[in-house]
Amino acid sequence: MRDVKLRILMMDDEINSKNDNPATQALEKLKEDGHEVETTETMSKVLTSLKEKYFDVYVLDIDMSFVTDERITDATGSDIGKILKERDSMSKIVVFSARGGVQDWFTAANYHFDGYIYKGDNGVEKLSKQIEKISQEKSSVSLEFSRPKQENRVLLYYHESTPKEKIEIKTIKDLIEKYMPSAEIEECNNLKEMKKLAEKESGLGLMFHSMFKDHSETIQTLEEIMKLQPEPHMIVGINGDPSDRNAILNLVNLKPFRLIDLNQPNIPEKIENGIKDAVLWYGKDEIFEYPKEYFDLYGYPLSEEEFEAIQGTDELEGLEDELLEDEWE
Amino acid sequence: MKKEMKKNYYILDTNVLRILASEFVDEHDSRKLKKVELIKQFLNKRPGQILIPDLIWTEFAAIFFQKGVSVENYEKYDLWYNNRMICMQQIKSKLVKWDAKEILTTEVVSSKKIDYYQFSKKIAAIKYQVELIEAEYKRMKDKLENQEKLKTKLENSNNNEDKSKIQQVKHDISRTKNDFNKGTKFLDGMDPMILAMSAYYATKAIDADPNGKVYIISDDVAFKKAANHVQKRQKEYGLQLQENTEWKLEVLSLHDAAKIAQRAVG
Repeated sequence: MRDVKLRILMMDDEINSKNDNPATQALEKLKEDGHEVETTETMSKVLTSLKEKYFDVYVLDIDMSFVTDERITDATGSDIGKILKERDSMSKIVVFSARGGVQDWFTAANYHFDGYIYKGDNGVEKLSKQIEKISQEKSSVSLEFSRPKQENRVLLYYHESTPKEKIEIKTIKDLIEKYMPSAEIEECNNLKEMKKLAEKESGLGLMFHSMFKDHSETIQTLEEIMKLQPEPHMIVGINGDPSDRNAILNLVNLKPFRLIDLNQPNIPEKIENGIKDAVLWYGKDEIFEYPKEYFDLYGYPLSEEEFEAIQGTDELEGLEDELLEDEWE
Repeated sequence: MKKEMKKNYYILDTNVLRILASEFVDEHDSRKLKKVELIKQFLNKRPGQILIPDLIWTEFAAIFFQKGVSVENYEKYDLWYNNRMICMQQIKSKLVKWDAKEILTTEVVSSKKIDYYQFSKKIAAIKYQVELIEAEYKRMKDKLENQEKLKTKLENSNNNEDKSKIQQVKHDISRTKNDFNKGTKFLDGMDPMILAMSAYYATKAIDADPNGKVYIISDDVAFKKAANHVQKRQKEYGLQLQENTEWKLEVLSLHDAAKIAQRAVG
């Protein structure tokens, strides 16, 4: 039986700095909390470690420019987190960064990272709490693949602040109808009503609001709605404004199925893809395609020898069947 | 009345799931990789037509997590387990995208169409007719001859790619000779139960669409021969379903599936 809580790999380009900084402070705190923490200054080391050791959690910085990584020169911690999640959808990723931007926030949400903690503003304590929360979570691994019976009720919250030039409510309804033709759409324009509607089972939830204010009541209402996932999955559209970091990170940490930045182009296409994926993964956690970026660093999960060890006794079709086919005909 | 388009269903055998898993293996055998592409191409065009008996999914998971277990220390086991789970999740992802459905044992057991346990036991203890035994002997003899023929062809070839296959063919010849000596296997392990579930589903599918067909896709040559033989002679073997219903089912190899894929979707 393991006598440590969690095994953590922490990636930060300042982790070996002689100066006291949030990364070194966080390292100390996590060790005090009883976790086994290894560290690395480079992104490539995170990926090569996948062949050597299993970590329960990866804590990733975003801007890794202080240290030269000979193998990976044009990526950030977000990209590494994405690769980790694509490779293993069950992996736990927590971002711990001072320099991450709007794009990183949305990546964290859309790849279902398990936390995004801003380094400043009591970040070390918040990271410690987030890791503790992860350690309390029960494993949710499931091999079920059949789709559960889908509820056809769709909740749609469209606040008046949503920029109509970016997306109109009619377009959203048309997209819902395209992928859920027998859906019954229930719409509202305030969060309290949305929460009431969410008390009954539904297949999908969409919420559009230019910006969720950092008010505790709003956050609490959102949290209660989000907790219902993965039935339904929630797709949320907001303005990705850099000055709204706290509000947006609060939302990111509520783990919406999709978080769409209404400041970006092609909003209808993003909503359509979100709805399509939400319908596909209804009742389940999303699994991404095995990644191809920097593949030479982490390779395949199984070696040929390991795979041979699970060879069955079936007599499989042989090489001669296909190579001699022409002659037989 | 508008004629509904024929819809076929394809039940995947455990070895097909194993082929799909080999996409995530550091695999250098081009034949195995070719099989992966073949089966993916076939199934990508048939979403909603793929069926997995729950026994097969469980058997597959058991093969993955209960064999070749790394026990050197718990840390290595953790990594080993996680890597296996990554493969399983990727296959699960494909099944979700193909809208594959599970055939549940509970449904088959409680059905009036089939006495599931009786049917499975009959297959398990079947005494085959002379045609299958003679055909199987000939098949294995022909297989060995073809493998020797192929070995000669490759040895005489100037093509480097051909030369690289010689070792594999030698390994195949050795395996065939070994199988010849120790005897073939037909419907062992869970095969009788899988066949029972498939026969039940085939009848259920035809009730819904008389033009549709149900196939099992398997890379197991002997399973294909035995199962198709039993299906054709079900009356003689006393293997019809309740109320003397005949079950219509065919086992296809990967090559058979590839040929169908070249013709039309269905």
